[in-house]
Amino acid sequence: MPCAELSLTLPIVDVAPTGDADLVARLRQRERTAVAEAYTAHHAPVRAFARRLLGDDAAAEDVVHDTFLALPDAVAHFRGASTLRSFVIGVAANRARRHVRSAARRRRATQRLAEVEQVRGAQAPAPDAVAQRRQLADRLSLALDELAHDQRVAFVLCEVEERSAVEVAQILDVPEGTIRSRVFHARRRLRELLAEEVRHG
Amino acid sequence: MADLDELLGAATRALRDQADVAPAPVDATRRRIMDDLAPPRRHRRRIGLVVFAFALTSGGLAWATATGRVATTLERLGVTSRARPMHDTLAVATPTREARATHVEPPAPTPAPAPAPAPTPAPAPAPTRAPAPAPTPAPARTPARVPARAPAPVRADDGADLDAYRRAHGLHFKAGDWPAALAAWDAYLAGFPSGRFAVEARYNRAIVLARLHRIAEARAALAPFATGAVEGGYRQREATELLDALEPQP
Repeated sequence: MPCAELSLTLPIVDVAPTGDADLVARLRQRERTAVAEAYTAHHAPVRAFARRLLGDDAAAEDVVHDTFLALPDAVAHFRGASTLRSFVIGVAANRARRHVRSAARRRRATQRLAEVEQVRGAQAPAPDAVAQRRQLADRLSLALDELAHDQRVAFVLCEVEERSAVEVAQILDVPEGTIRSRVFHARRRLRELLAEEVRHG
Repeated sequence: MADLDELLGAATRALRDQADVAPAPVDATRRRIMDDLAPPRRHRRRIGLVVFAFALTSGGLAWATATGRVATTLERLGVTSRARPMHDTLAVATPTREARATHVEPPAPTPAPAPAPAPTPAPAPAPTRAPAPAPTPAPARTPARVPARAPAPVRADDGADLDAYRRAHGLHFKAGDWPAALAAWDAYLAGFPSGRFAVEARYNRAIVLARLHRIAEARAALAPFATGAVEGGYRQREATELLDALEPQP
């Protein structure tokens, strides 16, 4: 489904842009209280995005940490074209780049653990619905590791977080067409990876 | 193709929900951020001035010492009539009051392992160094987090042993509840340190630690298995592979 056809359905209450001005000004002054306020207002969507992007709780926390730590410097580039929340998520998308490898590494270790456990707990009954969903999410996270970072970010923002292409274009500060193209290629590659996985059982 | 789209859709929804399920340590991350934030500019400027003043002073002193101007000046003031040149004095390094005190009374070497001496602020001269504690028999087979105590006798009630193991096994392999599984494995090992399934319990406990991303502890718990020290190589190959996979980031 094209990214632009999806509506924003996440339970996110956007901060009104007018309310951002004062906070942005104080962030530019590098006020500690401003960082704390920004964290209170925006950490939840940033954390959720990072968790979905990296598929790893520890890495997601590191991204949140890095994002808000970098905010006083990054906010110098904030032009007010989007909300501060969108801008912060864009910062997180950039900061996440550094954490992709460590998250993928941990995931591979976990996958190996799962293989060991599968052998050892071979008699275990069929997993319940929760476990099945967790496995599905893990499979997608593994497949996402194979994508280029830009495609991965676009896919997570558009398809997983169900944001519109317009909004994602604002977040990432790239043209809308570029977002659609990235999502298209990401989906195609993910389908290929899943097909390979199905073929190999 | 439709099946793949369906699978991708289901996986996408599952990934979306995962982020909502996982609890986030909100306050801990906030504290980390606030701790790591750079100090305000005013403080940074003050720190900069202190560093600059220190550099200037030590640089000037080094220059004056090297050119002999310090000695000349002090001599002129009648302070160093019987003193060596400054650089000699520095080289000899008169012991500090604390060092002298420790030099007078070196700790008597004791055959038994003694508690480590309190750290002294200045590096103590060689003779005052405490003797290396005698090697104590390390409990190689005791997992890191199991309370260090004398091996308790295995309870006569084998049923309790098995029940405790089954409970931990269920939490680990069926429920996938890692924190509860860890507590259950710890409870098993505390209750039955020499139980019938103690080795298995130790191995499973290491796996749970890895699941919980307590990587350092997991590595420590796996190490004896990887070296083949447990039961003549129990799970050695698997443990080695897991250790490789858990290798810390370069």
